[in-house]
Amino acid sequence: MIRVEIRKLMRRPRTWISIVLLCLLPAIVAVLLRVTHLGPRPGEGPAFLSAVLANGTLFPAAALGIVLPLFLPVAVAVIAGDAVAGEASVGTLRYLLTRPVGRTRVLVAKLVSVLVFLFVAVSAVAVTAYVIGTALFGSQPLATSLSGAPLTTAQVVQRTVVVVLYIAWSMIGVASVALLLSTITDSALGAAIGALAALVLSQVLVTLDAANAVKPYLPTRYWLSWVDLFRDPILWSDIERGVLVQGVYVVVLLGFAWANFMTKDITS
Amino acid sequence: MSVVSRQTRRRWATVVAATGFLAAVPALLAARPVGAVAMSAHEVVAAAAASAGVPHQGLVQIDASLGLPTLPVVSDETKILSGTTRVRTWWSTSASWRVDTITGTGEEITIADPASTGGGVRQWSFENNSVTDVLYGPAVRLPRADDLVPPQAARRLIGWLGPQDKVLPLGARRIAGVDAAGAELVPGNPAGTIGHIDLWVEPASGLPVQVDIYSRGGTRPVVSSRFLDLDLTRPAPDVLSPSFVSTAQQDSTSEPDLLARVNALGSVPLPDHLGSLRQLTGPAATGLHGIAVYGEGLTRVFVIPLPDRLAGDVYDAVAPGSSVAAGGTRLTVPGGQATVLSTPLLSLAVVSGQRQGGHGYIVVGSVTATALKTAVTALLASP
Amino acid sequence: MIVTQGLTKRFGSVLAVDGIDLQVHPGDRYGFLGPNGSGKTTTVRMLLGLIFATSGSAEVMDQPVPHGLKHALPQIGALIEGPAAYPHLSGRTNLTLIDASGAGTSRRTRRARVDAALEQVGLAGAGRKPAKAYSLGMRQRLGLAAALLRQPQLLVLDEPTNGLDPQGIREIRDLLLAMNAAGTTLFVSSHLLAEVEQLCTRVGVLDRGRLVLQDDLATLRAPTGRVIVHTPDVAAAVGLLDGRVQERDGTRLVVRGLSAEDLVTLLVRDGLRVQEVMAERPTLEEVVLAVTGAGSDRIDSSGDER
Repeated sequence: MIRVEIRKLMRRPRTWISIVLLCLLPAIVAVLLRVTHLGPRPGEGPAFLSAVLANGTLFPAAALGIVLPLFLPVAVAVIAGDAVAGEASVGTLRYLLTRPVGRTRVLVAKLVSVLVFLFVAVSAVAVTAYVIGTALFGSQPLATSLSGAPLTTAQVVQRTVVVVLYIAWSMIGVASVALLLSTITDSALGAAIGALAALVLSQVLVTLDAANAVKPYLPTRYWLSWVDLFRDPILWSDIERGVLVQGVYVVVLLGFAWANFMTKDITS
Repeated sequence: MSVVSRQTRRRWATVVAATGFLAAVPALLAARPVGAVAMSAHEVVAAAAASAGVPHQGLVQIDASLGLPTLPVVSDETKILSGTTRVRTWWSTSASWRVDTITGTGEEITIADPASTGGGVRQWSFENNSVTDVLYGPAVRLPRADDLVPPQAARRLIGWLGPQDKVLPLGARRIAGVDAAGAELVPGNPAGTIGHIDLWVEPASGLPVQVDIYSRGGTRPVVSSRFLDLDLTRPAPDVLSPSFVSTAQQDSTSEPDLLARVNALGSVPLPDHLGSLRQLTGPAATGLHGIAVYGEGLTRVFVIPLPDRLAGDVYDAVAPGSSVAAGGTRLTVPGGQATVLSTPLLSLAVVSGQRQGGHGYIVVGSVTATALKTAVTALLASP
Repeated sequence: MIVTQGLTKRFGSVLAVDGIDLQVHPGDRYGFLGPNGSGKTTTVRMLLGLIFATSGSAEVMDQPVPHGLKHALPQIGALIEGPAAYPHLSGRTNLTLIDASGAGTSRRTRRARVDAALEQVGLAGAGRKPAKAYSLGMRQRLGLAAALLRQPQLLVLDEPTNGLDPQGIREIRDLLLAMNAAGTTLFVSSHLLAEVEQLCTRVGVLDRGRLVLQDDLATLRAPTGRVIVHTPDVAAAVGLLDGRVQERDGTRLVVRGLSAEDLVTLLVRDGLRVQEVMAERPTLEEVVLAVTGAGSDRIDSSGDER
């Protein structure tokens, strides 16, 4: 079933369009930087964007920083919101369930396919950004970590791979919200918008001092912690928490989706 | 109602119970009873004072809400006194340690490097891509992140304790997974603004793990510094002396901030008493060249003479009509005038004297605004 | 094959299906009739485990619904409320994906199965076009192909000939009859009386959620005992039959109390000409209309609406 879901995902034009758009955005930024040579001041703008002008190998990290706050969550919410609601609205859900495919299996397969999408999309961004970054800005044998220690290109690539994994996993909370809503409504768009609303709420709360008590539990709280991978030594504590928090969100939201979907009347 | 409603209810009950359990895990962990720690308050203070040799590494969070106005010339340096700062620290000995201030997209590192800086530190700034040697460790400077990590802050405050200040028992608390023994320091001088200082130490080593400073009557700490993660092992040597990229800008200075520049000014004669506050001499005033300290114990007032150029800068910043002055009161006394700013914990006056060739002063201390005004009046009245 | 007892579904305050007792025997061609909105689709969905009954019970292929359905569904082909396909994928890919979903199908024979199903419904040549370019009839055929993929023992078809042209209807009917002859039980829900009359051996009639009739078609359409005769010599015939004529309409007479052969003998002996004679049987339409009220899409004003 998981294989079938992945095949469905990969044969959708929407999947590839969103991945291309995700890759295109950092590319535009890179071209503008190359043409104008106007990098943001260090400490301003997305992480590492200031360092890219000097060393293209850091561009994948900067590119991920560019798509992370908005574009990646939007793409994920659209794909995950479509997962069940999309099948319901074209009517294929009823044929899937009478095939029969167990409802739990449908949910798990959908989640796994969204996860695959995430890894493919984030990796695509990183790989194209590496190609574009080194082509436009050249590469230096040593890059500067946040802690000032030099990083070899091999180290930068290794850490970027971990960043890819972490960012993909960071999105799983949004994906789970969209998937839950997708089992509640038959409107794929509604599910995606609902998930984005939850995301915006979380982003607003993260910046609010009054919300300090709930901050550690917000899904977006540790999103930017991938930057910690470029410290020396690497600061793992927030990354570990981020992985854990997303895991809890997956379990809880998928639990709700499961409880709702198992005995839901399918009238689509 | 349907033929499957029982399963539906059971499923929802399972999911809600599991969710509730997961949500309660942090609270349950926090609510584990703290083991009794057999240490008296005085033992806690003594252990903390003697903890400079305890190797450790960990992550520290500093929450400060001092409410200081942003003075243009020192805004970067005083950032740490308002808001939340996260710091990681590695400590081997007093001469070998490293403290990193972590920001969203950068990092600032301070490393003890007495050998090559003559007792000073080496600083890395990602934002400036620079490595700066701060030579000789100026005795007077603005607080840095490494001053505010719990062990350093606790040892400094304990060093200031006077005979009037009281040490009271305080319950144990779990901090960074450690059942820590507590002590409460209460200043004895009624003119002081510090209500009390709560201090907890790791009982076996005596390493301070949390320091909370309360203003008088305050219910929340104005400054709170605590370990989030703590590991009592000796850090690896390569962490303590990291290498920096060769492309970084290399620099050295002996005057890293405003106060240090003042310090280089040389001494200006200052009175022995400011009202009821006596100038401290000897060990209590160690190293404060050109700057006088008045008061007793935890209740202290610093008088910092300013060179003319700096006095003008700072005074303009707090002059009537500037944003900073809005919260302050203007004081005109025989011999000069001053703008007095007060926060729950600190009072600060920028003083411009008319006699003595137009000297300016910054007078700052943990005393009430009233006490500070008295001190400023006395300062300007002194010959 | 399908047995329900007091099967009821309530959506909020609306009683969609009201205590129906279905009985479909193995080998039946069961026609499930009813006007639009009478609860046919809701019943079909309940039988297939998509909707859960409010009360009552159902068994499909001797498996309790919904818990045993996972054992029964692999032997069931279904077309529920119209076909559905991923619009951007070809018919063949759609079938391949459906075949690959769920356990128990071999990957090696998948291609052959998909080809066979496309062949059966007459789509072999259109398998590569994306489904969104299909006509309504082609979509219907694709839906049927999906239902046929596993050589089902039970076919549950909701409006199977929707959108097909007359030749298509004929083609599909022949296909279904052939499958029934090979042992597949058919459960066809429809609001088209003619379709059911031509295809089915047994009918259930649903009206506003209630099963108002369920019987073999042969029983329902048993001769009434009256005979219909067409003769140009109407006046003579009426006189000869002397009060046995119950209805008279042009050259058509409805006669009671005589068998067809006796009637013909009687008329011919007297030199009267007979154009056509046959025993009267009720049409399915008459049977159904006799037991159902107005369709649910017709809303009459009720007393309390004043």
